Amino acid sequence: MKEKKPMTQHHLWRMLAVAAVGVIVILLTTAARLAQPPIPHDLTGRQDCLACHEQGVNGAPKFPANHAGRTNDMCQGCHHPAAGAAPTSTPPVVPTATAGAAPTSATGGPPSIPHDVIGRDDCLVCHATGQAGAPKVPDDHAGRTKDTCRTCHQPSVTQPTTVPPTPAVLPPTPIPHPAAGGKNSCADCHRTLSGKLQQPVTDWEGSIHAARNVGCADCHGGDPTSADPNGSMASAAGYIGAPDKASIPALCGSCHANVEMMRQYDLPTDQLSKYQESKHGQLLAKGDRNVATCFDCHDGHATRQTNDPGTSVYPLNVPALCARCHADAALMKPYGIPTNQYDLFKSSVHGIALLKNQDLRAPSCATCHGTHGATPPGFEEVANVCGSCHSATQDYFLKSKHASVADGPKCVTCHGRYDVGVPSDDMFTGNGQRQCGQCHPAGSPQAETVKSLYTAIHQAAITYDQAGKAIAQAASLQMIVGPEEEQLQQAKTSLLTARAAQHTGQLADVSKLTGQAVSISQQTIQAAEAKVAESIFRRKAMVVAVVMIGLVIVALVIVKRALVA
Amino acid sequence: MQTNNWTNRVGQWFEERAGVSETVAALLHVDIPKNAQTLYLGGLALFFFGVQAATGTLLSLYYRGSPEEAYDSILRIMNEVRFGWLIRSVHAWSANLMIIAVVLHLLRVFVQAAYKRPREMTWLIGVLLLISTLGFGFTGYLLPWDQRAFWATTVGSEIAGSIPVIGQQLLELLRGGTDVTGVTLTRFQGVHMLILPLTLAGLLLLHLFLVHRQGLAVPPQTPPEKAKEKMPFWPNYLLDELIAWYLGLALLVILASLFPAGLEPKASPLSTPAHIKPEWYFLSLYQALKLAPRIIVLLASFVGLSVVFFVPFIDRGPSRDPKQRLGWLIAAVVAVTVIAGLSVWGAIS
Repeated sequence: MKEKKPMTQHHLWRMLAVAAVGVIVILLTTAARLAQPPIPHDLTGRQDCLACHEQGVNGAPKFPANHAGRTNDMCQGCHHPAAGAAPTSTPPVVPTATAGAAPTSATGGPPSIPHDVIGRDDCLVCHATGQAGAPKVPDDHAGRTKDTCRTCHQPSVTQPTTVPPTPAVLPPTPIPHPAAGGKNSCADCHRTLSGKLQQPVTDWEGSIHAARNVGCADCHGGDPTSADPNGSMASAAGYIGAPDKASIPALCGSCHANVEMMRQYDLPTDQLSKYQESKHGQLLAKGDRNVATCFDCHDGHATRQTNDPGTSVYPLNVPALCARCHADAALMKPYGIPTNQYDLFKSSVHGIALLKNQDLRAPSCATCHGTHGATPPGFEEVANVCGSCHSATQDYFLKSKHASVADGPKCVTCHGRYDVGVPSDDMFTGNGQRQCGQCHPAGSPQAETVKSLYTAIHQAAITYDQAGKAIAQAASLQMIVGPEEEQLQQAKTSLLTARAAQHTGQLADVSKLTGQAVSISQQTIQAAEAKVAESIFRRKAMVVAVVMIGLVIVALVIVKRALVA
Repeated sequence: MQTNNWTNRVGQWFEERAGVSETVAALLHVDIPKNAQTLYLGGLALFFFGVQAATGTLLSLYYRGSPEEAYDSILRIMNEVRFGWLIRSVHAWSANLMIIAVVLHLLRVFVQAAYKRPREMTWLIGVLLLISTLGFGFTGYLLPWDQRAFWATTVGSEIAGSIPVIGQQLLELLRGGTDVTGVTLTRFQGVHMLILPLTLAGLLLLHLFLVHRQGLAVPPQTPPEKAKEKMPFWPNYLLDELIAWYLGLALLVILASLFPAGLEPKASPLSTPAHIKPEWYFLSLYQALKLAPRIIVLLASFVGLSVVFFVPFIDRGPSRDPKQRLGWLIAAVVAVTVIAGLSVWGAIS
């Protein structure tokens, strides 16, 4: 072990020298910093120093040439707010007069903002072109973005700054619903504007809300009777601008969860409560702003009735609507859920029926997952979800051993989830995916039952096809085959029922049904073949009749010739 | 022979009371122009009408005219009644051939200008016979009460309903209400089996009476000396006519055997078929209504039919020479081409 040496005088002097150098460096640095010009204004909303100081706009001192290459985050390394720079201090004096009629600040700085800024985050929507009488942005402001305006221009109107916290469960929001008296100055004014300011009105005008006299102020607040934008969009008038996303379900629910209000339209009122229970609602309550709200699915301002084929929530459009988010890999990444559901669905038997054949009986995403209460069904619930349409099959399935076994196979095990295909008899054979042999190896008692089920159903299917061909042959001979086709429908019913009944796994039940299908099909074949035989007889009889008529004609011609002669 | 004596005695018994031989002799033993070219079309139309009367009577023995029973009764006729399929198929084909024969007969008379004095009235009644024949087709089409029948009648009566001013009233008169229902079926059955047969038979008797009275017209180009040549109506002309009828019968047998009358599913007002079309003889009107404004089509049809009806009073010149009637012949060719073209277009569209 090394022995500790006592501190010598030499060591002491060396330490003092180092400390002295350090003090000198600190003093010099502090002096240098104190020597830099202080920041004479409040820094609130002015994080981008270079926005003004790089070029020296609005009278701001242009930074020296030796500062080239320095970035915003370096400025406050040397420059600090002056002691007297109060939060209300004004920006530097504006030398130009291009602000026109805009009121200047009391101290002669850049014009203050004379109106509420609630719902007006994008200054350039109006000020870039001077819409609705707003002063146009001066030429020397060219290139500035909407994020820089509030660096210099501050509102002269006091804003309510407190945002109520989002409760875990969102109650309906009591919005003002001001008495408009048939007036809607919002629409009157915005209709004359363009782009982003006009679009909501254009959308709203074609909406069910417009048709039912639900106006802008019913959701955005404000005074729809005032023609003055500053009055109609004043916070004092209850104007809330664009509602916060987290409050949208409750805002819509303020009407749509109101039984009294919705009774006249025969609309349900449980959407809000369902939404709150849904994955979307739960995540929104946790502050996730990526999830869908009413506004996202119901076409925003253009919301229409759900039976309108043009609306996004019309059954034919629902898969594409859900895919807007759920097929977006980047958006879904944080949730760890796949994004191929829409592609799988499109080529499934359900997708083809719904999207290609436009068969409204076919399910969309909402049919299985729910609409407002959208939540993926659990594995145990799947049979119930499928059974809401395939009720007979579900009844058979619930009688099976599969249903009684814990963690036993469910509908999705054999038919798939989003990519449900057309079921075929091949599912009985083989041991691949979605085939019985996958779980029941050859030689097992269950495999023997499967084989018998396959034989019974397959034989019935073959006989049914033969009956169809016999009818087609009779029809091709112009015979009336309506009764035979009706009979064949009975065979089809028995065959379909047998196919559904095989979900019980009970061979006796299935054999009884396939026996019926075979018997009816054979009767149909006999009837159709009798029609074919009848047609052949008719044709032969026709030849005889035509020959006899021919002979009569020949006789008449002979008589005629004899007469003329 | 004893048999001969027996028949002679029966014949004499009738002759003494009815004097039939005189009437028969007056009808049969007449001379007609040897060079008349009837093309046997009028006779064929008469033959097909006779077939319709005979087969229609037989069908009426089994047909039941209510929406609940009509379809099943037709199915029974086609599948169970002995030779029911033949009777119905011959009835259906004969209806089409009758319309063709009547139209061709009208065209033959028009081309030969045989409607001119003194045969104006024969022509007018002939046009009414054509309209009655089309009425037979229109009303008969509904009776099977299958999908094709129901919807063809719906579309067909819509055309009538589109006539300005009286359209709605006419439509309701045809249908017995605003829609095609059991009332329409009863109404069509009554018109098809009672009103039209009586009307057509009456008009036919008048037509034949006038033909008999005025004799046949010879073609306009016939030299005068040939125009005067005569031949006995019986048996010479009637034998030719009989041969034509037998050919018509052979055609009917072939068509009915190879293409028996079909039957679509039972009529359902709630299930509209993909392609609804009226019968082929209304297809030109149907297609024209799809192409041109309704009022123009109906006005053109009304004017066209009026011109056809009143042509003996419009084309009043004495000459029957085709060279002097070139305008009329060209108009006829254009009209026939347009109607045929529209019909084909309507059939394939």
